[in-house]
Amino acid sequence: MTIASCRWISKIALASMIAAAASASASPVVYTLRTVADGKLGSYVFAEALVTIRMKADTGTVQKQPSSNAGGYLYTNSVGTVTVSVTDASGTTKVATFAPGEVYVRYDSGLGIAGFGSALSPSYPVALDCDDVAYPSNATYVQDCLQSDWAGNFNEYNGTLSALTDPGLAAFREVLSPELASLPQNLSQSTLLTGQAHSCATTYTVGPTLGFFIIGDLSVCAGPASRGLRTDHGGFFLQDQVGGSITPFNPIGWGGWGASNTGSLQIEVMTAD
Amino acid sequence: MKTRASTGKTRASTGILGGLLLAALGVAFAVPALASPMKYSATLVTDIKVGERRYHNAAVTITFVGDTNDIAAVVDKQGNQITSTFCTPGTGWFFWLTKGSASFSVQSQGRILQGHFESGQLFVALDACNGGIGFGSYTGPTGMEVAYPVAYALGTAMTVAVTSGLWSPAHMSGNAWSCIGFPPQGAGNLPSNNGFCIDPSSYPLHSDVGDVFVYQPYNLDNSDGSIIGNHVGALNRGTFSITPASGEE
Repeated sequence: MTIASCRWISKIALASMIAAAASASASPVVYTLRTVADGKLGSYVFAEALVTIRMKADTGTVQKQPSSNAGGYLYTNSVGTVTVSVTDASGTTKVATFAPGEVYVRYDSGLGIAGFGSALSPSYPVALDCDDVAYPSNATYVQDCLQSDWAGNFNEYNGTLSALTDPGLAAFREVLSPELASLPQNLSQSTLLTGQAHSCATTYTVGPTLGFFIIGDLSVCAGPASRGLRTDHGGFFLQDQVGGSITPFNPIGWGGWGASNTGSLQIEVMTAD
Repeated sequence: MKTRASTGKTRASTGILGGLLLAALGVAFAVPALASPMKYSATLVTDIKVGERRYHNAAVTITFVGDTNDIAAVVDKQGNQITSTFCTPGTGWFFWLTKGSASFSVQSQGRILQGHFESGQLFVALDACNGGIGFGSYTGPTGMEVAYPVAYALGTAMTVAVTSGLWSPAHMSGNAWSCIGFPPQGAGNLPSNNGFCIDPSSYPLHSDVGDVFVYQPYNLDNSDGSIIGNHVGALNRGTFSITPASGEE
């Protein structure tokens, strides 16, 4: 046997070992995003309905690459079955299954944004903790969710996503509760990621900042997606009609993005017991 | 400079969302003559203990089925409606629904645990002045808690709280509080709890599957461990739903 062939066999063996190790450590995982949103499923139009997107996958197919924000990673998982459940105010529930590969789960631990993305946009159908301010500027805002809210709104943390990511926390003499500080920041361990919800395939309209404290000049989603996300019940659309549009009300003027919809992404790795 | 605020809200007309819903269904009622059975549900992911088992990051849903005709203004010992110092005098009432049945489910690791709370412990709570909505209970050191086992502030929950309130179907989301001692920072004439929520471990809610304790693990704190604010200190998020009980599947 030649040295070259030995090296080739060694590479095969090493690859097999790595694959075996990956297989051994891989576990079933369920990603569940819960929010309230506006949109359409087939011909069924809904407003402010409970929307739950759930993906059953495996941690072995989580992909990892450096985040655009140094120090973090962009995690994605696109292999699995994804369903969407919509419950309207009457209590009626519709459930649909996305076509394979139509949507994927995504968590950018560098930016502090998580949700479900698609070929239409990495932040659509739902992204949590996007910037509520037009970015880079009102004039150049052409794509939603290019940065997270903690970067554009230093005034407040809108969920665990911002709090886990913002390096400036200590400057305000604030700390995370121990349980919050210990939350894993990837798609392969059980964790809970929360924030304000953006559900818009295009861009939000830009208007005055409403409310106070939780700021943002984005208002409502300006238009529908160019096409529906393919499901077994027809095209699925989300188009946020609340966003930061709520006029502040008395007595202290909460409104705007302080009155937006919020969401949570639960990552539950299934253990053997 | 970063600052923190505490609380606020106003009362508004009821029935806006309900009107839209009824119009959509093509149904008209002579309000408020008929009973309106309603289901109130809160869903969040949190830590909860049931009996001897503690669940971490479980999907918890608490449900209360009652009737909108039983929603009442909260009154003091003299029978006067309670106002909020943050709202215009005479308009900022607190409401609750105490008659009904309460249950819960815990989903974790693909399994579902369901239980029923013993009667007379939970109530549906509405702060139509400051924008709070959720479930309170007769527990804690004072015997009444407005944000335990779970209630919501900010988000669309705040808007619903100050508009259609508990009377009409709606889904909403917001900051989820499971706090004995709310508001931790005090607000108006409500006393402060030095910025802390009280550990629920000494205050069980009794159910047919064991005592229930709901925790609030994810907070933004001051350096002394106190929660930074009555609205924004809780970093968990959840949903609250009001749907016709007859619409249950």
